[in-house]
Amino acid sequence: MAAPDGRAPVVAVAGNPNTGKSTLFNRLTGGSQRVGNFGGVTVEKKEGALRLDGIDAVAVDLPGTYSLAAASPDEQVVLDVLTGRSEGTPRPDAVVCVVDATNLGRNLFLVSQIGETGLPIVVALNMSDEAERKGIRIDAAKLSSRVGVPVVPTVATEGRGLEALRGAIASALNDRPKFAVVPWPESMEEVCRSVRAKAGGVLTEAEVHRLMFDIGSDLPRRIGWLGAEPALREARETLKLRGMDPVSFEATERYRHLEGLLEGMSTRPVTARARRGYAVDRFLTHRFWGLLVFGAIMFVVFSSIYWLAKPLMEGVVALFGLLGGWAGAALAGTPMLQSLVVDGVIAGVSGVLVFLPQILVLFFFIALLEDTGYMARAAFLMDKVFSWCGLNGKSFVPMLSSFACAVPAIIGTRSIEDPKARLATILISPLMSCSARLPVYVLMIGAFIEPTYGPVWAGVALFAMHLLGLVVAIPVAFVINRFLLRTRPLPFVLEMPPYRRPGVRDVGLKMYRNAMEFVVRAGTVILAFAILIWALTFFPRTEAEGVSESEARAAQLEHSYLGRFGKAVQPAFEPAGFDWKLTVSVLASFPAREVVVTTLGIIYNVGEAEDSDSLLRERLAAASWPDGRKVYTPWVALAVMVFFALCLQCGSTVAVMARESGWRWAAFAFVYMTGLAWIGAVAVYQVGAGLAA
Amino acid sequence: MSLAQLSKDEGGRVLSIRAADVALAQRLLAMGFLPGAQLRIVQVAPFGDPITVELNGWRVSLRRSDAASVDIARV
Amino acid sequence: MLEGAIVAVVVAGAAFYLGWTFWRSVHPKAGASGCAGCHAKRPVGRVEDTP
Repeated sequence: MAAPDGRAPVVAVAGNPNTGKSTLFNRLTGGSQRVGNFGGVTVEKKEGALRLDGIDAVAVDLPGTYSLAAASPDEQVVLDVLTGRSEGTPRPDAVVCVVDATNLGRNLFLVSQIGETGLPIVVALNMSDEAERKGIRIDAAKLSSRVGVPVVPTVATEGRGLEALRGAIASALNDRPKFAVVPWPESMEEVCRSVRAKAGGVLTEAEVHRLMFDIGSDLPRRIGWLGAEPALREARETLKLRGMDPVSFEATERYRHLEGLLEGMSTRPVTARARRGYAVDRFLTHRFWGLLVFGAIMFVVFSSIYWLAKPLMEGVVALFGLLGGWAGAALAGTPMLQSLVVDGVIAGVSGVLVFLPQILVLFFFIALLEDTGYMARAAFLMDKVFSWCGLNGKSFVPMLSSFACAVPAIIGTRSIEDPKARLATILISPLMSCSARLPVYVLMIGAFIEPTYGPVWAGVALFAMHLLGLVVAIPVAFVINRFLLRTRPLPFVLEMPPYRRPGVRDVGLKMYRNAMEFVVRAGTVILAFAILIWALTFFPRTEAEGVSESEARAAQLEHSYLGRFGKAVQPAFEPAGFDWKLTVSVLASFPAREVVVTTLGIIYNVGEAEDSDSLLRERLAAASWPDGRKVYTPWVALAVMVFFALCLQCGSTVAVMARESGWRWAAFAFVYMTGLAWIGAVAVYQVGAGLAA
Repeated sequence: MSLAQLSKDEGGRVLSIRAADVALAQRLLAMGFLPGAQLRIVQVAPFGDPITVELNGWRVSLRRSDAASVDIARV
Repeated sequence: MLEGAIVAVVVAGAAFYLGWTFWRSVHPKAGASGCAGCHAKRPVGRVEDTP
């Protein structure tokens, strides 16, 4: 049965977090999911085809929430979708409420709230196998008769109960069953009616009820109800006078109602058995052992991104190297097109796909840690460290991963519900010294620190560079949270789910989805950047006669638009001791940080020879200003490294930031980091110059 | 006394939620921190904060600064 | 000549694409948070109240 306007029925899937809702959604929709955003906010939206008995419906996965009280963007989205006020998502025709059978009381709270929107509901009593193991016996039929809607026991991880669920949804679209309503006192209904009238009748009864409780809701502003504030304040005062405190009344009444509905039904776990799911916590959150295990797990995650992904990345590079060679040969007759394809497009695509192994590895671990429940423990252990600068424990994994590569880390910040903490984490992640900065450190330290000061100082310098980002990130996070992001932080209340076995399909699906999203969303932007920078280095053409290939390339780079721009901008970098060659190389490294080394190689005429590394070092050491003094002193080398440590010369990171938090913030990050990098480089160089004098 | 003042393995019964921050109060209430609810501190993080509370058969962590909003009677 | 045209189209396309994604993200659709003065539309679909 289709909705009045002939479109396919829309079925929303709602529920508390940690109820296996995603697993159930995946099972119901098969592989047919599409990922996007809910109208205008950075909340992920998953849609999929839902095949019911002869009906082709659409399932929409709503974010997991505990309540409709709209304190966080996730909750706001759920409320908006259910009241039909979400841009781009039609009001659902039915709602599947996924409920954790081991925790019926709390889970039904949300269902009861959803029930008030008047939408037909089907309850999926998930994790019913776990409930049985814990000694909870729920008579689904009895529960169904009490609450007035179908209750279907399911075990999503094993695919049990799905057929019955589909049948129940199909029937619900016809029969429109309603969840048992809380009998609000007449004294409250009277106040609600008056408010509804004052709002000019544009609000539904359900929305008015919610407004009574949702202090701070921005719905009145969104519908343009100007007299809302005084009207609502007066209404809430009235409720308070009548003995119904708006802050707590909803919770106490609703739970009392639910208790009544559940009377006589055994819904509490047998304590000893319930504790089994938590037994390991004694150990894993222990002062000493817990941190030790935590450190070991994080070490495995981190080194996997670094080392496991490496051979795969090299494979990608090699593969595209071959492709480039083949394309180069095929296009030998048209040199301009050849260069565009080989140096622009193929290099660009390779630059995108090279991130895939890291992303897949990181999201494998994140999915594993989340699905087992360990992620909550990790956040629990680390929260104290982060809370004072406005972040929370959930920032730990993204920030740690940023030491390998910020790109997957920034995508991974999705697990942070608090939008302020999430944005702050995204903004400081690139300060962590990622693996792409390593070639620069190795070059500079190898050429200018080690020969003069020896291997010990070289090691110290390398360590210091990695530490620098972290040290700078702390005050930056503090400033961002205190002065820049004016929103109130969300309370950090984190559920500790019992440990569960992760589902292979779900882990695989999460990995795949995140990887594809990156390739499609960020990849296109990165490719566009690569093409543009190619054009800036390729034009205008310089015809150099009778010189070696490497000299010709150096001359081309010097006279290209990028080269000219670099020379023009160089005076800004003079206080940091950079000459035009360094400036151009830094600018050219935007598509990928490690390109700076390649560009330096081009500018200094180092060919593709075997000893190109040492040759480059020699050339750098010999480089001199027009007046004869050396360009590269250890202080300049330090300045270069400091600049690189703090700058955001990475198109991929910018692209991913733009995708996750918008171009405005990505641009802000670029500006503030470049500024910090410049200040750092200048400071280092000037200190060095001062000491020498 | 408040929830923040309990130590590990100590139990209590919720008396009320002091609505310092409405969003926090409503989140706690929605999660079951209702007057009369029985709870117990089961874990304390290495640095003393946050704490894990067991109530109604499930577990939730919160910072002591937020737990201070929950008035309890020791049990 | 064809070669030059192809290259020009590709480069222009890349620049245009970047500009377009940038413009699109800076001008969000109505209903986004922080968008002053936009009215949430009347609920889509049948509006039902609790009995």
